[in-house]
Amino acid sequence: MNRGRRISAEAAARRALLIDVLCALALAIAALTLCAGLGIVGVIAVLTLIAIGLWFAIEALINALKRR
Amino acid sequence: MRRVRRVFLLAAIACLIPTGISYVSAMSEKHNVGLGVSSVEWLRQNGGNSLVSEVENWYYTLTAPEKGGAPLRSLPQVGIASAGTAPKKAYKPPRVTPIIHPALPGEGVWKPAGAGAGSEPPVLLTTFRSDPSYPQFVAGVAWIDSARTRLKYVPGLAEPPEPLAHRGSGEVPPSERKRLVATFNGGFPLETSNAGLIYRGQVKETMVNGIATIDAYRNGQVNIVRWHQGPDAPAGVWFAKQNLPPIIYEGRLNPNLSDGPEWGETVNNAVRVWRSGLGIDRHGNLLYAAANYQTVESLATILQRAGAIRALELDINEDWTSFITYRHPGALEASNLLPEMFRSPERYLVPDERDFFSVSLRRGQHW
Repeated sequence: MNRGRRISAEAAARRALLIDVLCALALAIAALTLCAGLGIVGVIAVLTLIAIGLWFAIEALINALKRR
Repeated sequence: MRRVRRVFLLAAIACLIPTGISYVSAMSEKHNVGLGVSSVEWLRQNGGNSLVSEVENWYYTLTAPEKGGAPLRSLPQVGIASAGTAPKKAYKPPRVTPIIHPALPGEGVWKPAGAGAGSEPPVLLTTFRSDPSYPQFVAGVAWIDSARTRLKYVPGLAEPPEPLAHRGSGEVPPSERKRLVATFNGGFPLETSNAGLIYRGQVKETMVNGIATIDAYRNGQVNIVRWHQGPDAPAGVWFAKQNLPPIIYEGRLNPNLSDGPEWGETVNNAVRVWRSGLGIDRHGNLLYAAANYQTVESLATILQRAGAIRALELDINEDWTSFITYRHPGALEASNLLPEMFRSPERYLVPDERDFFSVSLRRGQHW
């Protein structure tokens, strides 16, 4: 019987990070190739960063409220 | 979900690396406009033209002026007071008939732009209120004597973007300033006007039939035409700068001044912004007009009222609209056509990004 090799939690996290980085690079290359120009890519990237920043901030706020 | 967020975060950072390099590189180049304007120009040149135009449309529509308002008591002073006595042979344009009554002192009256211009001033200036619905708006108009002057197309540092063997330094060369009487803004950037350019007799951007064209010949003769000579440079043409369809042709306003793709990738024609245009009268003299809060139609009406029989729109927005005269030889005492013009009167005496036109006295003509 072929049993899967057990890996540590750290190794699983590193593997997940690698997959995410590759996915992000593929997404970035697709955006840079398909968009009308660097300007549009930049605007979308900045808006994405703002949205993710807000997401982090709201998450942190909710966690802080839960700890009270 | 957190992994999705991480992927998008990393992708955004990856996208910002080439974008940031391009942006920083563009901003490091020599500019004589603020960082905000340069950033918008960078965005326009990098695929964001439609986005910028949409934002501009939205902004200018929200900040559109209201009709009416308190009547003006005076007009801005333009030109110099003494016009001298014109000999009978010298043609001078008739006064621009005021639209709003009672007329204000000096409204529509032509005044010489330069001191000591004698009896045949090469450039005359006037102002008048151009729209009864907006009695606070003042249009500035300049008349340029084509017989005494020579029009020159001067490339800017960044516009036109095509490689040019004789780009120059984006300013009026010091050697040409002794005879300089006026400078004014060019048209839309080639990328947004879908138009052509001939410079020094060579096609730099393919000429487009049907487009309004400032057409200058090697002998100094200048005309404004609807181009119908095909993509190549005809013999004798020294420069030809195209910009959108004509707004006036053979004395009539273009019946299609409403929006459409033929008017370039920019704000809607009905949006009120700083606009400028160049026309030609029936004697072959040039007429430049500029004013804030104009639609394409109201700009065309200003030029028509000033005597233009053919005209085209030039650049728009406060950052790009300039008409500058010089009171004394050597480009001394530069002044804007209208005091509220945003850019410095020294604009074309230092390197500028955009292309422009200079007006100099012909050889044999004196101040």
